[in-house]
Amino acid sequence: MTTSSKPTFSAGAVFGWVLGLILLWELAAWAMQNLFHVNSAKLKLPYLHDVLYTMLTNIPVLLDSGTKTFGNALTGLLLGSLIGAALAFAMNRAKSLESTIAPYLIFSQMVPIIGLAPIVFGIIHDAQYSRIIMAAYVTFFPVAINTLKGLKSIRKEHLELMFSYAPSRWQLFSKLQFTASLPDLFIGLKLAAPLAITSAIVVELMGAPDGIGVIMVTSLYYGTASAYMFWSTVFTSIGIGVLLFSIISLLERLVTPWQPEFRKKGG
Amino acid sequence: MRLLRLNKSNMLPLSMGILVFILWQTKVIHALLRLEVYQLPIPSAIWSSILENHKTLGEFAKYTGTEAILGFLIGSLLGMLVAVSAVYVPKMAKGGLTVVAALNAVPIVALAPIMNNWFGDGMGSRIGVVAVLTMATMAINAYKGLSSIDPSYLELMHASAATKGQTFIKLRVMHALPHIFTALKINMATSISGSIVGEFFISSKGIGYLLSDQIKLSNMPLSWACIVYAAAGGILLYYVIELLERLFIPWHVSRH
Amino acid sequence: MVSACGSPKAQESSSTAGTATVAATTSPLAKLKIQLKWVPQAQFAGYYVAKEKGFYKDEGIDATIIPGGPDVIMEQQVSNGAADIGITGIDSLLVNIDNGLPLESIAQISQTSSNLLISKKSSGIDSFAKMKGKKIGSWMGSQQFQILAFLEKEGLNPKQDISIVKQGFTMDQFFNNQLDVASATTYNEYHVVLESGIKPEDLNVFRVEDGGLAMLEDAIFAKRDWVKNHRDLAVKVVRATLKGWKYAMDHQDEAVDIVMNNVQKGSTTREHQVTMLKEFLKLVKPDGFPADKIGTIPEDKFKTTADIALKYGLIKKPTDLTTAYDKTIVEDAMKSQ
Repeated sequence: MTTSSKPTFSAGAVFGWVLGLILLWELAAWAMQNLFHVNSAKLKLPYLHDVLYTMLTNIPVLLDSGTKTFGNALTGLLLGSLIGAALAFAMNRAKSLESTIAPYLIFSQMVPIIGLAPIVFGIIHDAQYSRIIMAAYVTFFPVAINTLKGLKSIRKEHLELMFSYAPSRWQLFSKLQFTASLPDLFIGLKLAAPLAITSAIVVELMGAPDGIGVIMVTSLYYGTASAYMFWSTVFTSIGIGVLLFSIISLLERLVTPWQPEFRKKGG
Repeated sequence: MRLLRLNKSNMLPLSMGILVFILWQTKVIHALLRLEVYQLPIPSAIWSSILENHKTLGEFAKYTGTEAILGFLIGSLLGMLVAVSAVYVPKMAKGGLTVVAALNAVPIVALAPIMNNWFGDGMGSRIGVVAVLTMATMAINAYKGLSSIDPSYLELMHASAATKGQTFIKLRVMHALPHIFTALKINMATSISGSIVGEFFISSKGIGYLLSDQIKLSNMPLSWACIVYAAAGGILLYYVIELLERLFIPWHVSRH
Repeated sequence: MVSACGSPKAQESSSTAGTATVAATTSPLAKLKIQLKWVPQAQFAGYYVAKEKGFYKDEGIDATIIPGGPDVIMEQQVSNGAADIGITGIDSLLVNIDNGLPLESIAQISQTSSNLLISKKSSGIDSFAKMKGKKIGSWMGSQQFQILAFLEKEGLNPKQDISIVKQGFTMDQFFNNQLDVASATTYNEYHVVLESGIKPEDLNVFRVEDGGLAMLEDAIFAKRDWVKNHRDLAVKVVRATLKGWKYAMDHQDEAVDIVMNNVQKGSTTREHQVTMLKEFLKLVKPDGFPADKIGTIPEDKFKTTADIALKYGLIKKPTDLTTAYDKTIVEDAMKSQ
């Protein structure tokens, strides 16, 4: 009758999924190379064990670059989230602000970083800061949109209850708005996290000295000899992304434990 | 946001836009930020470029637009599927959510070459890229909407002897609609930027192809013409979704 | 003693702007940033050698070498002050100048073209005539124009017979048969193909240089104002760079070691860089070219490059050859050798 949907993080299930995917991958790779004789099968879908071997033998490089990229992504994410959250609160406070800048916010997301780069570099002149700003640029939008939605979704009854206590602006903010917007803020963060990684890597293409993105490009450039290295970087970047995502999910559970999906429930 | 009526809520963005436009055209912005025209072109130059190249721009816009919309639809659909199965088969599907989120972490720098290897330099590559990028957003948002139901509502449904199907449609889906629409709005932006960035790598047509090509030649007016087309497409799609949102969930608090 | 540069950009307080001090031997070294055209590799051995062996330091320069990448536009980095000098191909330089960037070339590193067109023997494309209607890969941007010129000379009609497709910076499309004819450089992609298992006997190779209509490639360039205001520095950096290249020519093994210290670990092999250096040096000093003249700007070839650029629509206005390059810098650099 009730779907016993106890939302426990079933490590076993994830493990099962991953195992299943690994098997599927190896099978597909084998089929591509030996059954269908697909052109350049090694490039399209290499054997996982080959890639893993390359990863293991290159741990220092991957770890070093991965950490740099992760660091840049985190900085970009923090900056972008701060800007995004601040914007959301400002827009919620002043409807006029929201209607003024909303179309331009959307417009901002249409400008690919590559178009922005000459301008950002032209203003800032420093490569490292420019890269961080561009990373923040990509992440502020999902955080802003989701936080704003959260703020707006505060139920009228809750607002009325708060007002009946004649709260100060700060009390209103801290006791209701901030807390109520947290769940949606976290959605925004979860969406922005992989974007932060992606943009950190994309901006590395603009002449960064190191990072996972640089290895990605150079291994592609040098061809078949480094095909496994390329796939190693793909997995590394997934790893970083999942790490960031998990950290945020964990944070969410700690900070907003009241949310329905974290509670035991039926149905 | 009322689109077509020139009323109070329209005046503000419009006047701000006009102000920015004037500052831009007269190069006040250039003076303030110490930029050169070859870093940020002025609107009149962008306009001439649009006029000069409107045939190519139009053709390429259609090409890229198709990639974006198809990828958007496929990705959002797949994302919904994952979210729904995560709600009803939680043990299996929670893992699925993680996998989908992991896919989202594959940077486009890696995704594009992989897709290019599989699908060549045609639309298929970009549709693949956009689908992957939009899946996770839809999955996460939809899952949140479908699952973050207050238990008291679920109990109410049980108390009224609702079938699984009715619970699904009347409670879960309805509750999830605002989240789904948020995901659609984000996905719309992602699909446009995804298809454009996807074309930076290996493509012989499209707005992204033209943009990346021309910017390397520092042909800023034409590069920005591409950006203008992309932005126009994005804003159009956004308002379409806003319209749909108003149709589907007129009751939602955030609409007020 | 800090001398202010003429262009307003350089007056920024940002520490990365190219404010330079003309160095006496005991003054602090002048900071100078060199923007490479691509990722660190043997193609840029001269600069790394010059830095490692102290040639820049001897000239009073503290050089920083900035790697390039797929989305780095060298001309813009130099124009906006993120770098002081850069390496680019003349085809790219000319169109950037055409679009308003105030740049000029001050030394020509590679004297001949590295561009090859290759096809698999199995495709049967063994002559230019057979390229009609086939997919020919080019890196686009500014690089397809010498291919157009070359093929037109060999009898193909650019408007009807030539179908140029964008080629990425990998050879995957060639391996996947998504291209019939691919572009390759003598120092990299050709060997990437060989390293993938395809043998030289399996390939048809056409050299763009053979057509006499190649466009000049790797050159050192800078902002015109910067050169005017820092002429001494420009001469010094060119001198040190050419010394680096000469050293690399005479000590290839050591040069490769230096390069290997600077490449992205894990992405390439020493053998590949050895071959790259050998092949690239053939472009820096082609057969019969005097070693002491490397870096000279070949005015006739520059003009050819500019003519092709105009003829095929890469640039809209004819290049002003009096401002596009300054050959006196290299000449002065060579005088004090």
